[in-house]
Amino acid sequence: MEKRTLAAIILILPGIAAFLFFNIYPIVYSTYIAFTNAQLGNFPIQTPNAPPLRFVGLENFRWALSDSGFRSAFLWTWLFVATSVTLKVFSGIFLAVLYTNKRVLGKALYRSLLIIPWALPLLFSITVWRFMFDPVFGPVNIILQNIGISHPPDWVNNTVWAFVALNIIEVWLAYPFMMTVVISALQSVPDTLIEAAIIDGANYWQRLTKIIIPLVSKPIAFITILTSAASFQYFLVPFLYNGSLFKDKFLLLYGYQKAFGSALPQYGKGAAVMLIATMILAVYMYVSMKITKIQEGASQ
Amino acid sequence: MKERKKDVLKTALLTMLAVIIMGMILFPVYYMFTVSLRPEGTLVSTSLQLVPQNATLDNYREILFGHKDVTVMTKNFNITADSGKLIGNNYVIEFKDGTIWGNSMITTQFNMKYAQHIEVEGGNKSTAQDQIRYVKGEFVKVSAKKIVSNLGVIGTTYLKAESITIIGNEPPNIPGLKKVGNNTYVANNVNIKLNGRFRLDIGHSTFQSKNFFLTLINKIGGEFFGYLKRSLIIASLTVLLTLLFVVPAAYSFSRMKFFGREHVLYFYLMFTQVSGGLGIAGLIALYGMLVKLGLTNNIYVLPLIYAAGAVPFNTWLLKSYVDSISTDFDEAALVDGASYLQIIRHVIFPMALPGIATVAVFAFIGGWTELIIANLLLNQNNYPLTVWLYSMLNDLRNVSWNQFSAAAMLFALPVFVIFLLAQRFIRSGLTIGGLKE
Repeated sequence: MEKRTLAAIILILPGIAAFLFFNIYPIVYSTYIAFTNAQLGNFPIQTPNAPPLRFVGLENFRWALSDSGFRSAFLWTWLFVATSVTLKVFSGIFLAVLYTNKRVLGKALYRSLLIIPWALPLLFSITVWRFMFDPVFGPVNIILQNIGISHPPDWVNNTVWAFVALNIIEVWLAYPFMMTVVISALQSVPDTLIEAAIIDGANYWQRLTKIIIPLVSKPIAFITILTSAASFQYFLVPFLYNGSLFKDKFLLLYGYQKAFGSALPQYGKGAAVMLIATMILAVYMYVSMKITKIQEGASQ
Repeated sequence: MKERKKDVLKTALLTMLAVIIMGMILFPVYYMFTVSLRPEGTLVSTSLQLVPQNATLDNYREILFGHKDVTVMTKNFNITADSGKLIGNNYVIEFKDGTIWGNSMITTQFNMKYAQHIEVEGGNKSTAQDQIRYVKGEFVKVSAKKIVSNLGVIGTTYLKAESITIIGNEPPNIPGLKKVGNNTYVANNVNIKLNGRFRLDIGHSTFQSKNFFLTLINKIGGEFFGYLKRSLIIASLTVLLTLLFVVPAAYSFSRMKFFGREHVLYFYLMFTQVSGGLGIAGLIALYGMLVKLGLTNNIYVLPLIYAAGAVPFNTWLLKSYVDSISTDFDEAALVDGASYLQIIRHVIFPMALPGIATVAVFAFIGGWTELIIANLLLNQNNYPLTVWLYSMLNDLRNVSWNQFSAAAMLFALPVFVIFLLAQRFIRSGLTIGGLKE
């Protein structure tokens, strides 16, 4: 028995050691940095002229709570979670219902084509969309001009329109996963139930909202939680789409910009911002998992 | 009958809706592809080109191989061109199908873009990074898409051309010159001598000069294969390390009972859900660690970080896959007298191959596409494809969308192909692993 445990430990050791060293240790170390005055000159390496690295307690967190950039990032992040999650879930359900409808001919082909965005690297997809929304060359504005809008919006540099664009991009990036999960759930709904409802005289809308959707509510709750966590951690898309415009609109991006995005890096403050974001996320995930028992959903 | 007609109509409408929505969703990727095939400078337009006109692979050629620009400093010159402009002090001469030659009183700089067929004779040759220099040679001949002399030639210039148009209020005295509009004059089959200073802006042409003072041949772009090599190294090493980290661990979690097994697994599962955010959150410390260890600007560190970061997800995935292989096989082999290592090698490993392939594909794609850490740690001489693309995205004033989309296509293509080829494996790997679908 003792020997067996030893063998097991040897087998899992390389993976877990690398994981602890490159992932867990940086997170612990980042937590420490969040309580220090780490900035240009004293981090990572102390230079003689800079103020020495020291423990400053909750100062960075106090700064964050009174910082207008942080407040703005906090609010915008939640706004983005609200708008993008709503759009993602509804578009996922809509597409799943449409592409399983028995009246749609050739739906198997459409479904396999619609998975294409899943197979594309994120960097590529964002590049594609950055071009779509380009104010001068982008097809979106060319189409808008063709239908008679002489001054189409600036989708890249105007905060509100760029935010709208981000929502569209996020829906486009997330729908393959949402649609696939909902489709496989829909296919497990027994036909007899729907036939019974037809006999009872329920119309299509009633069947959809009263029978089908409630039956697949558990997988939908599962993907809603996963996708809202993804929206909360939104980083790469705003970073690539227009990193300087969105720097005080998304928490992780704000933290990143504090640390790496300016000529005077403030690592301590950046780490504090990221730590706050991580804590919120952890609480959110924990509560959602408790409520919905996500681990069952994940192993289904 | 009426019912049936209504049915057909409904089917037609819904099918049409499904096709239109699919078209709208997939349009961006298709359009990006057509942009990469269009000649440069054709994007400013008021209508969409759904099928590219004059489709060309020039953008791909430029991204893959780059081009050469030549600068020549000399006094005498001879240029044969399809069209071009001589910009004088009082007027501009536009010519078609002509030759310009002459002697400048001072050494003049000619800049040639997209040069081909470069011939140089004599001179002291020296080679620096991306540049070849010839000092005081006997002869130089270059074909180029564009020749510009911004300071201009001063002295005597001869022009022989099929047709010319002169714009300006004081045209030179040329036989056969006709006034066709306000300040506009035309002439055909001219052979003229011009004095004074002229700047040159000439299209597709061949340039020759004798006894030049200096010729510089600059290689622009064409570093694609360097970026590709580094991306391949990073992605392949990520696959190797991932398999090393994950395969033994997955076997152990699946087949062995030991203290803490459930806790570690549960922790891994939790971590996969928030790994994106935590990865960014740990970035500051990771950067600090690697600076202290002196490991920045080193592409061989990246695979370690990527493989380590994906340990929870991949271990979980492969463990679930190995779980799906019935232990009956192990026991049957055990009864037949096989050792544990033999069971792993001859029973479990072959049956787990789809799962292992899935993990390998994810690892490769992960290493190939990671941007943030690579961008943070690497300097320009070590960029992989991702960081190169990112740097171009931030420099769209100097890079055309046509070339940029060609680069983006080249970057995405391998991922797309691997994904399609491995789709069967991924499906069985993921379905049994129970994470997606």
